[in-house]
Amino acid sequence: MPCIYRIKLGERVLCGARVPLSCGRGTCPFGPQLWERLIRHDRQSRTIWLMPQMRMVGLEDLDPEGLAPGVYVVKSIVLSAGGRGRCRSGRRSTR
Amino acid sequence: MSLRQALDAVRLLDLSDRGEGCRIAVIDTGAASDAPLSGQANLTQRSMVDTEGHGEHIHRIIHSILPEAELFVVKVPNPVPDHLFISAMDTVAKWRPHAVNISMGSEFATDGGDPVSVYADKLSSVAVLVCAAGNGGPRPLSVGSPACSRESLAVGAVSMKLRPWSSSSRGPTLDGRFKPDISAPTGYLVPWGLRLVGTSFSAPLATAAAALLARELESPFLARRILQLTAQPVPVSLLNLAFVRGTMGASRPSIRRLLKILSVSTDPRNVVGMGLLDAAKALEEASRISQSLSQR
Repeated sequence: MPCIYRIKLGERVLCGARVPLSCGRGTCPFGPQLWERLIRHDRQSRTIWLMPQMRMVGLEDLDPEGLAPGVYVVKSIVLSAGGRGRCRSGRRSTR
Repeated sequence: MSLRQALDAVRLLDLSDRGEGCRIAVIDTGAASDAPLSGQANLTQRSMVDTEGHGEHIHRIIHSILPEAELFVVKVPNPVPDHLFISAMDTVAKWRPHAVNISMGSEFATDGGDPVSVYADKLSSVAVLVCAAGNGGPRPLSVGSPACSRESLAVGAVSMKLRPWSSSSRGPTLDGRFKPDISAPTGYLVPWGLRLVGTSFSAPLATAAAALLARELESPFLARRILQLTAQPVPVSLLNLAFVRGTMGASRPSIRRLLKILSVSTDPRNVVGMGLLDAAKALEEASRISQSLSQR
C-alpha cells in the first residue's frame, strides 16, 4: 500500500500532507503505525497535484517552501479496471 | 449461480420497474456492441466497443436489469491516468445521470484528499456515484480511490452464498472512515455464458438500485443513505481462517499484533459495509419518504 503523500524531491522526502515537513514517523498525519506500512512499498510519480486548487504540475516545478498556507501535495495516480487484484471473467464450467 | 439468483438475493427481481426515465452512466473500458446507448464519449484512440472484457459486461448487466433506462458510456483507457479520469467524470456530469457506475480504481488508500476523490465528491451532488471497492482484499486499507471518497457509494462483494468474498477490498480509509458502504453478490453466471468475478460486477447491481432511488427521490444524497440504511446484515465469521490470515498482511504473525488489529480489520463495516443491498426495501422506504415530502 503506497502512500499518496510521500513525495521524493531529489534527496529530500517530503510529506505532501504537511509540506514542507519531511516524511517521518513523527510527522505522519496517520500515526507511526500506519506510517510504517505506508512507506514499505513506495511508488513515485513524475507529476503531482497541488490541492485543493487541483492544479497538476511536474515534480521538478514543486517549490515546497513557496507554497501558500493550506496547500497540500498529492502524487498523480493511475486507475485500472479491477483495481489491485484483477477481476475475472471466465467461461462457464461444464460441471 | 446465475445473474437472476444474484438479482433475487438483492431483491431487484421483486421490482417490476424496467427503469423508464432512469439515466445511468458508466465510466469504463468501453461499451457492448449489442446493448443500446443514449450517449457516449470516447477518451481513447480506439473504437467505443470494449476489447478488455470489462466495460461491456457492466453495460450489458445494467441493460438486462433496467432495459428501458437510458445508458451513457464514457470509454477510458485501461489503465487511466487520474487527470483523464477526472475529464471522464466531468463529461458524465453533463448528462445529468441518476447514477454513475465506476468499476475502476487505484491501489492507493487515501483519506479522500486526492483529486479523483475530491472530484468524485463534487459529482456526488449530481448523481449517486457507485464505485467498486476493489479486489485488494483481504488486506485492510485496500479500498482505493475513488471508492474511498466521502460521498461515493463503495460496493464490496459477497459470494453467491452471501458470505464476505475474501478478495473484496476492506476498509478503513486512511483517515479511519468505514468502507465499503454496502455489498452485492459477485461470481455469478451471466446469460451470455461467462462467470463474472470481482467487485466490478457487484457494483452494477447497486447502480441499478441507486438509479431507481435517485429517480424517485431526486436526491443522490438521500438515495445513497437509504441504500446504506436498508441493507441486510451479512454474517462475518472470525472462525474463517482465510479471513483472519488476511488481516495479518505480510507481517510476522503474533498474538499481540493479532489482538491489536483484529478489532479494526474484522469490523463488519470494514468488510461488507452496512450489509447486503436490499433494493425492494430501499425503494419502499424511498416511496414513503417521497410521499411524506410531497404532502408538506
